[in-house]
Amino acid sequence: MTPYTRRLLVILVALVVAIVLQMSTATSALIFGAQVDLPLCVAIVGSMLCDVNTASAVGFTSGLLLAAVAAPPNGGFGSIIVSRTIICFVIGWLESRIVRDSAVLAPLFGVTGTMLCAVLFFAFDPQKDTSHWARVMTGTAIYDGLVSVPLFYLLRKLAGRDYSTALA
Amino acid sequence: MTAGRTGPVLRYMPFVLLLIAGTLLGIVHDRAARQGKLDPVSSLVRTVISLPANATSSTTRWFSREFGWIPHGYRLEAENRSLSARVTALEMANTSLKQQALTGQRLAADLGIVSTHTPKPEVAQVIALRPDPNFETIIINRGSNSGIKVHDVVITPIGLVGQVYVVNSSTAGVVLLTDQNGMVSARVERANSRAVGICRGNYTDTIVMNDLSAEADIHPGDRIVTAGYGVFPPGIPIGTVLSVALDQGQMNKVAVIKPFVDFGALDEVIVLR
Repeated sequence: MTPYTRRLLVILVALVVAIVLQMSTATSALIFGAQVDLPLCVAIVGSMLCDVNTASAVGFTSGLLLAAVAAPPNGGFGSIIVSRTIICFVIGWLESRIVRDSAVLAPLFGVTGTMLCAVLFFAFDPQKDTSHWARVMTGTAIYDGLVSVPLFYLLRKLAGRDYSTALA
Repeated sequence: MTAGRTGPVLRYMPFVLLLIAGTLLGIVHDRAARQGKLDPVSSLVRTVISLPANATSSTTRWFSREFGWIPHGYRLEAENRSLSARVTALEMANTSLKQQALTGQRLAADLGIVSTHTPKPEVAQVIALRPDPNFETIIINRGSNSGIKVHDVVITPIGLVGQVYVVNSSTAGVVLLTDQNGMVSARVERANSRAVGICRGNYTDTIVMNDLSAEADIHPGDRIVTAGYGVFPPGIPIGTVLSVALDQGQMNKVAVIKPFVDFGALDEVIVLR
């Protein structure tokens, strides 16, 4: 098995585990009412370990899994997928062009990635209750930022990094 | 061909294709969702994912049932005594209600009243509770194979939960009363009150009851039940009135309702088919 295949497989398994945990336990682990978005968190951290196109695929898979499970009652299925694909593409691009394998960036990407993802979702599919949406976005972004740090180390340990894009 | 010589469009072609695929999937899904169905891709994904999710939920429930009492310790004895007293009181009330129901049936038979459709209950386990923090929805482990349909009403023994909005063969999505898309006509459960309004979620642990007239007879402490208009059968408990105020235009009253159901701890629900 090539390192690339192994990395892809580990991230895919992590996404499936994340969606199962999101379904069964996410509401039992609220912090000040905020709920983590584990599939998005895994997608963001996974994108930090991949090249740009693989990162897009990771975002797409994360979006598809969550959208299929959550199936928003008032539309927004495609918006979930597209917003995550774009955010993971941007993270993959930044990782391959500007930043390299930095654990410090995991919480930063966790927070900003979740916020931008929510902003894109809102732009594609405006919600009736803006204050609720903003509240959820803020809480989830901070929570995702916190979870990103251990998740980054765990995924990097299990999946390894894409050294084809790394500096010497 | 190296990445350096490839144009940006070709270099990022997989990304562009994924965006197109996401958009198309969204269109197909929304088209199917209008008929209360899941598109084939989501249906497949949900069916596959629901297997480990169901197993995880069952395991969590088993642990909670078998070992959940340990952290509660001494509090259980006092709770047990209080519950025994409550069971006795409820048994007496139940006997009285059974007699009244029999009397009602006899009277209905004498008057020739035809009974309306009685929904069949189907117990379902909750396999996903609010999977997306943006929406107040749950997924249950019963679908069209168990006779569940879109708009079926979902309750617990203590009150209204919501209604089914999307179904596939083995699962169903339920929009909770606390979601803004969850609406139900409701009335005050008091013989001398005719106050009727619409209960709507606002993504918090309370529900807002509006469309009440300025003269509506509704007070804090009143019990609110379904009015029976639309898909919801009458008399299903919703919650208790916390406060009542006039709206901004001073034309209607608005009541804040505390639901009976704890939407954050749903484990098992009953679908009325």
